[in-house]
Amino acid sequence: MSEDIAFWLSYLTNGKHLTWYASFQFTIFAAIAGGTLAVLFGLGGAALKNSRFLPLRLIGSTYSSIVRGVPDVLFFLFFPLAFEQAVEWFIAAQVCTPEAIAAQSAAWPPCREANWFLGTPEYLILASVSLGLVYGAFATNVIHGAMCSVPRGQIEAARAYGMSARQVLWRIQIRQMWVYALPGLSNVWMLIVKATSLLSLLQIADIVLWADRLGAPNFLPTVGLVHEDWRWRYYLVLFLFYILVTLISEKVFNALMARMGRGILSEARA
Amino acid sequence: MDRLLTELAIFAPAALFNIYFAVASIPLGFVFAVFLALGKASSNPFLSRLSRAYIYAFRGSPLFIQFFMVYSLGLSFNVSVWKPMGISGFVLHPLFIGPLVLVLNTAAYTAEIFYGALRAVPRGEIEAARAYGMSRTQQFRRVVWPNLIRLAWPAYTNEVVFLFHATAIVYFALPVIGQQKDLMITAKELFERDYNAFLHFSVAALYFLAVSLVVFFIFGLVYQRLMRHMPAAPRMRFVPKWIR
Repeated sequence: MSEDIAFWLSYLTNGKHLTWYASFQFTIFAAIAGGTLAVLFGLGGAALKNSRFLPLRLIGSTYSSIVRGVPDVLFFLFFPLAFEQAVEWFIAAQVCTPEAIAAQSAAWPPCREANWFLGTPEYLILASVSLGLVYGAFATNVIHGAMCSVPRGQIEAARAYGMSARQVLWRIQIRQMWVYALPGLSNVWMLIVKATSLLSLLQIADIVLWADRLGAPNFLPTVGLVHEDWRWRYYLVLFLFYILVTLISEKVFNALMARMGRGILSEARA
Repeated sequence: MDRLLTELAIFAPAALFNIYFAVASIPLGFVFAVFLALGKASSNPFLSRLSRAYIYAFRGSPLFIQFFMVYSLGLSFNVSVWKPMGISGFVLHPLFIGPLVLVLNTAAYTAEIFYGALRAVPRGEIEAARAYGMSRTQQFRRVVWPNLIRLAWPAYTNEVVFLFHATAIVYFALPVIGQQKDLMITAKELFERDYNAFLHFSVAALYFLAVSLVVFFIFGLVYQRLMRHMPAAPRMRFVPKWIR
């Protein structure tokens, strides 16, 4: 019995497993950075959508409707690749000589000097930005709706005090809308958490990739424990991990709602 | 322009795979979701707990993980179950596993929508039905269901579009067999060939947008049909405000 426990303990703390545990940091970083950026982009998008100037309003609503009309995976993959290419194109315009361009046989980049190598940290940041962009479109809608549900009387009072449109936006609408936006933002957060499972598509060795590697059948005793296909067990662990994260986020958001709802008419909380 | 047209032609067969996944999973998911929603609302504690847990689990975890989990489960039963039965080629085929997981996933989301609608069915109407002496089945068929589907339809439309978007990750989790590639895999392979991210991904996005619009249109027609007893909503007026 105790031998069994010792065996499993040593199996679960071997180097590969420790790397797997460490890779949770990528997921957590992407979720938190993506969530923060999504709120920021959402605020920006909602401010644009609320603007008094038609072209800005059009930009805001185009952003939110186009990005929401396209699968998140597509944009999630497209943005980092497109950004990398744009940077390489820019560098190429600066450093490439005609000879270097002529010498280049691959389709991209234009010359070898313009190549920008992306490692895990760069991809992680790009992935977070891309999560922020995608879910910022959802947050735009949520925040825009919340801004519209700020009682009109408050905005009129602010205008009557002589605040400019920008002051009304910053001092009244953005301060007062959180109670209305929170339920929607909690949904967006859940979407972001679930989307962090896609990090492996950008060559980040995240929890999904490691679960796949660890669970893959192993027939060589020299490589470690000989076992058959255990992938489903590892995926089951991830499945439970995500459910747990959802559960915790739900609790946190409920507590936040209760706290934010203080002193606000109960209709806002219903 | 010519390039764009050839590109559109290349992507057309790929779009069929996405449409197949969606079309194969929507009807089954719908039926499953109705049972799940009724289970969640049922007074039987066992049934209610079970449906609640199912809905929570499948709404609370990423579809990507669900794909991997179901597929690897299928693989681990391959030697002991599917091979002897001679159906391993069928059970492990992406065209089977894909819709299977999508059904499991969408049923949970749809069930939550239906459950919300079920709770919003006016109590007075149910009481009236009971006062008329209707049986439980009659109540459901004549009062609860018509109300439920009308209340749930707009949200269900959104869920269907999300399901269609979710078909984009099927082949990232499951093996691509031969030329059976969906929009995302096609876009990715073309990108890896000539590194033209803007063209290939935009065309794939265009297909997704187009199909989403078609779904919105068809489901809108169905909604109009469902709501035909109601007075028509006032027509939208086009009054542009260039500057406010």
